[in-house]
Amino acid sequence: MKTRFLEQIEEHTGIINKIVNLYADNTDDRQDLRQEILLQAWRSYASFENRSKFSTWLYRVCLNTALVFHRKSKRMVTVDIDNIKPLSNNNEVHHGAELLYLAVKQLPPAERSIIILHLDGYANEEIAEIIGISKNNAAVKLHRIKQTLTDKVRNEANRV
Amino acid sequence: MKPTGFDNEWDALQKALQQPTGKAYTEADLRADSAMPLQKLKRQWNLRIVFTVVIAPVWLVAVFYFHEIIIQLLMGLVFVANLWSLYISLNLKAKMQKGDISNLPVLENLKATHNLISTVIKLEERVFIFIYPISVAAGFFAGISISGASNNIANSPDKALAILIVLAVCIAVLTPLSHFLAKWLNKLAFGNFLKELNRVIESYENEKQ
Repeated sequence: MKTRFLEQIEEHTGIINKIVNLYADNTDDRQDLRQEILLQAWRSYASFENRSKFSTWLYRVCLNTALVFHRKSKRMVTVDIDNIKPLSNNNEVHHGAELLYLAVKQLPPAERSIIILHLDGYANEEIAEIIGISKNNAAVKLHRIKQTLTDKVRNEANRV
Repeated sequence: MKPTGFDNEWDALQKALQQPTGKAYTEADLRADSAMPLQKLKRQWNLRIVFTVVIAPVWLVAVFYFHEIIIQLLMGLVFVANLWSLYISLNLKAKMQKGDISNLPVLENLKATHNLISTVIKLEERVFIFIYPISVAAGFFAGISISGASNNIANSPDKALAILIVLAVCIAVLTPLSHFLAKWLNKLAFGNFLKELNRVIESYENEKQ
């Protein structure tokens, strides 16, 4: 069971890395959050009954862990714009992506989770199911978050 | 279809975000201790249960060790209070262990975590407010008995009255002091965490945000 679990995690490690990169601000926190996600996923694995896709289930576990994770700094996940390290060292990422990254990291944790799922192609209904809110609430929030994100990207573009 | 208006940017960003954040997981990683607040609280309560199981018989032995009826009564009360706190601790432990909550929908998980931690902290503070004065009185009389001053006091009503006043002052000072110390320590350990958690819950629930 452990081997099967680790294989599935390895196949979907991109989801974990994505959440870790978007919710942790420094190397130590990234390592801790990454380790914690694995532990929480393993604890919950027995109750995973293939009713949903493994990726959807893992997303839920990742978000649950990231939002509750107690960092070494004893603060929950919040982002100070001046502490965000841009992805500028990576040549593959173009300028727009970097602006988007900065804008997403500035969003409060709850809003960040919704936009990440949306940008990853999840429908409003699926987002509502993963988060545990109504479809209507998800749609309203998404609309506002997109507006905020657009403004933030524009502001970042002016700032850079 | 471009549902977000950021699809191209997101695709490029995904590639960067999905880059490994650490080395590949191994089976050894599955045995590590969790640093989640609820897990930490569970470990704290496990230690408390072990401590109570070890200490409770000591109070029972003390009932038979001392000969003064008042000390025997107080030691008996402390023993009963220990059993009571053990019962509550085991109940809470069972509650904390009921199901894994990390695969619940996010909002449900946040609420369950908040509720469990708040419940455990409040209960701990309330239970111990009854246990502190009994423990203080038991320790106080045991000290007198061990020092050999009990016969001297028993034969002098004035001294007995003075001792009772000192005991009352000790209880009046130490009980709230211990209570507020426990409250302060809990606030230090979980206060900010619970506030932040509440903020995230409200953020999900508020349809206007």
